[in-house]
Amino acid sequence: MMKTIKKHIPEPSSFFILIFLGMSLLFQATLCSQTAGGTPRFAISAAAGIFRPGQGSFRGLYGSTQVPLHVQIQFRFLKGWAVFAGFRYAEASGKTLIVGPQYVEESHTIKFSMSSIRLGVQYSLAAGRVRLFVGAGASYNLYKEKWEDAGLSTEGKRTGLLADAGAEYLFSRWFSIFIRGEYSTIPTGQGAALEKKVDLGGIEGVIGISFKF
Amino acid sequence: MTPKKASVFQRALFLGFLCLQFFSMSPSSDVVLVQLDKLQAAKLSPDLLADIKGLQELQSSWIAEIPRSLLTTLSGRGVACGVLDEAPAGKAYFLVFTPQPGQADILKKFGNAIVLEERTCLFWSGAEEARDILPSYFEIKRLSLEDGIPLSFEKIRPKGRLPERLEIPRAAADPLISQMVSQVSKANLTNYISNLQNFQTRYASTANCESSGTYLYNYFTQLGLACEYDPFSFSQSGYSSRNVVATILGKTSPDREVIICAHYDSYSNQKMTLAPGADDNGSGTAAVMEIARIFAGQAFDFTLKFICFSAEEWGLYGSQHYARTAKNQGEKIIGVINMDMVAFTDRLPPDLEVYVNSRSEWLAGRYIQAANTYAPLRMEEVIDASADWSDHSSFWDEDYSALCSIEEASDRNPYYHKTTDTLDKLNMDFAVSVTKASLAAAAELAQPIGTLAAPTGLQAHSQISSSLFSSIKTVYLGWNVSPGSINGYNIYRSTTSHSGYHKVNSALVSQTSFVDRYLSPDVFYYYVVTAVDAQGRESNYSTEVRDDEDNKKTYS
Repeated sequence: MMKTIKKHIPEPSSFFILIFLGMSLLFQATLCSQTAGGTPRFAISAAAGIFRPGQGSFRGLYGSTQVPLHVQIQFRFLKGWAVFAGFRYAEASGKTLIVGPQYVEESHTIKFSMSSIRLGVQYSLAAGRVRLFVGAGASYNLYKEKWEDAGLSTEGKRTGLLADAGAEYLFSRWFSIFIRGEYSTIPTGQGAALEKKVDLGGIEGVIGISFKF
Repeated sequence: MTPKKASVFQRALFLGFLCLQFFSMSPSSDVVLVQLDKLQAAKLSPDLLADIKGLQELQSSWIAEIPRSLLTTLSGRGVACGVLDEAPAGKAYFLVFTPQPGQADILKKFGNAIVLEERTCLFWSGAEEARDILPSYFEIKRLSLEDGIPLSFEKIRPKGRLPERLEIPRAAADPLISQMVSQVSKANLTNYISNLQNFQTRYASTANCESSGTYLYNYFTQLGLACEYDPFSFSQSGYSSRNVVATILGKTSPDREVIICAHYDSYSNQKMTLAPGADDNGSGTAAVMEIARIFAGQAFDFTLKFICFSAEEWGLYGSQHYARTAKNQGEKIIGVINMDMVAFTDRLPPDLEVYVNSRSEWLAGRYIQAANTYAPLRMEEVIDASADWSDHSSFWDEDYSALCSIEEASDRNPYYHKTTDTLDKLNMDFAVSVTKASLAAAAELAQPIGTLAAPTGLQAHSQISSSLFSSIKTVYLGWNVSPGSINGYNIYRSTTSHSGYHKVNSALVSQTSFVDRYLSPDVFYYYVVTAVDAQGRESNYSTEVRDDEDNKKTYS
C-alpha cells in the first residue's frame, strides 16, 4: 500500500555558481554606483500576474491560470543595462485526473506551490517617459505538491530559464508602473502517470509598480 | 544468325543457366535461426521485438527466427546474436539435453549440433526425427518453427536451487485434503505400474502404446470421470497417437483448470519390442491414475484435468499439441503439475526436485507448501527455464504456469531408457510420497468444496488517479451474495498470481463490494474473496481476478 511518498531531488550545484556570478556582478555594480551621479541606479518592484502553464496536464490539474506574486530588485550598471534578482511565489489547488479507463468519477484534492529565486540581465531603451525592455535569466525553483486526503507529497528543487519583455511608464524620477510578458521553462525530469516529464514553466503576464533610488 | 551472334547468344544462355543454378543452390533465405542473449535483447524497442519470432526460451537466451536484414541492426544495438542456421526452412530442429556437459561431439556424429547452454544443444539432421537417429540416453524436444512465442523477459534471474532445503512453515491443514492424502495406496500404485509395464513397450507409434492409451481411457471412464482422447499426428512419417484427458468439472468456476499430468509413452534401446518404462514414466502415470481415483466423486471449485500425454519421448509432441490447442481456445489454466520419473532413488532419504521457470515460481511455492503440510518429503526447487525435457515445458511455451516433479537421481538412474527400467528397481514408498505431495498441491489449487461455498462473480475494475508528480491505483471489487448465513467477507490481495495473499480488510466486510485505495499504479494486484459464516468458518477462495480484469469488458 502506498501511503506517504516524499521525493527529494538533489540540489543542482550549477545554480549556486549562477548565484555567485550574480552576486559578483551586483557587487561590481554597487562599486560603480558610488562613483556615478544623476539618475537612480537601483529599483525595487512588486508585481502580480497571470501565469498559464505550458503543459496541458498542468493546466488540467490546476486550472488554466494561476496568480503569481513577484518582488524584484534591479541595478543599472551601464546605460541601458541592468541586472535583477527577484522572488516569485505561486500556489494553486486542483483535483486529480483519471488516466486511462474511468470506472467511478472520483478525484482527490491536491495543492501545488512553487517559490522561485530569479537572476537575470535586462536591456532597455528609453523614449521620454516610456522605457521598453527585454531580459533573460535563470531561476531556482522549490516546488511542492500535496494530496490533501492521501498523505502523498512530492517536493523538488530545479533550475529553469526565463526570458521577458515589457514596457515601463515613469510617473516621476522615482516611481513607475510596468507590464511584462514572460516565458519560462523549468524541466523537472519527474512525472507520474499523467505526464512522464513535467515542465513547470509557461507564459506569464505581469503588472507592477517600481520605486527607484 | 551469324556464327558470332550465335556464340554470344550461347554464352548468355550459359551464364543465365549458371545464375539459375547458383540461386537454386544458395543456402541463404530471408530468415535465419539465431540465439539471442536475454539480458541484451530485453533492452530492444518493441518495434524491433515485433520482428523477432521467439521459438524457445532458455535460461539465459532465446532461440528465435529473425529476418536476415535484422542481423546488422541487432549487432549495431550491441545484442549478441549467434546465427544457428542460415536456412531453417524445411528442417526438423530438436533441443537435445545431454547427460553430461560437452557431449555435443557425440551428437555431431548424427547431424548438426550446436551447444546452446551447458547441457542443452540444438540438433538437426535435415528433416529427420531425432528419436529415429540419436542414442537412447539423450532427451529431446521438438522445436516448432510454426508458432512463434512472444519474447518475454519478465523476471530474468539466474538459474539456481532456491534455497537448498526449503523450510516453509506448515499451514493449517484442511481436513478434507488430509483425508484424501491418506487414501493414496502403495498397492494401487504398484498395480498401475505393473499393468503399464505389461504392455511390453509403450513407444509412441507402436500398437502397444495405443493399447496402453485405451487402458488409461477405460480406467478413467470406470472411475466415472468424463474422458476423451486428444488425437494428434507427429513426425515426418505421419504417425498418430492420443493423449488421454479425464475431467472433473469445477462447481464454482468450471472455466479455471488445474492439470495433473504425466506422459505414458516409453522408450528404450529396444523400443519397438521392449520398453517397460516403469520409472519413465509408468511412475508418473500411476500417480495421475491414483490421484484421479481419490478425486473422483469429490466436488471442487475449479476444474481438474488428468492428462496422460503420448509421444513425449519423441520430443514432447503430445503435450505441445495439447498446450497449443488450449492456448488457442483461451483455456484458463491455473497451474500444471507434471510428474516424470518419480519412483527411483539411489539414496535415502530420497529427494524430489521441483523444476519451474521464473513465471511458475509461485506454483513451486504452493506445491512445496502443500507437501510440507500434508505429506512432508525432502524437496528442492530448481528455477531453470532451460529444463525443457518434459511436458511441463510445452505449457511454459504457451505462457502457462507449470512445474515438473522428478526424482533427484534421474540423471543417475542406471536403467533410464533401457529394457531394465522395471518395477522391481523402484522405491514405491518414494512414489507414494510424491503422489501424496502432488495430490495435496492439486487439491489446494482446485479447492475441494467444504460446508461453505466460495463467493462467486468476483469482478475487478481499476483506475489510476494522477497529479503532476504522483499517481495511485484504486481497485473496485464486487461479487455476488453468498448463499446461506454469511457474517461477512474477507478480501485478500497479492502481487503474484495464485499465491502470497494477504488480507486487506481489518474487519469483516458486510457488503458485496470493496474499494482498495492508494495502490501503486505500476503493479498488478490479484484478488480473491472468502465468505465467513456465523461460526467463524471461512470458505475457499473465490476465483482470482487481476485488478484490471473487467476493465476491457466495461470499456470495449
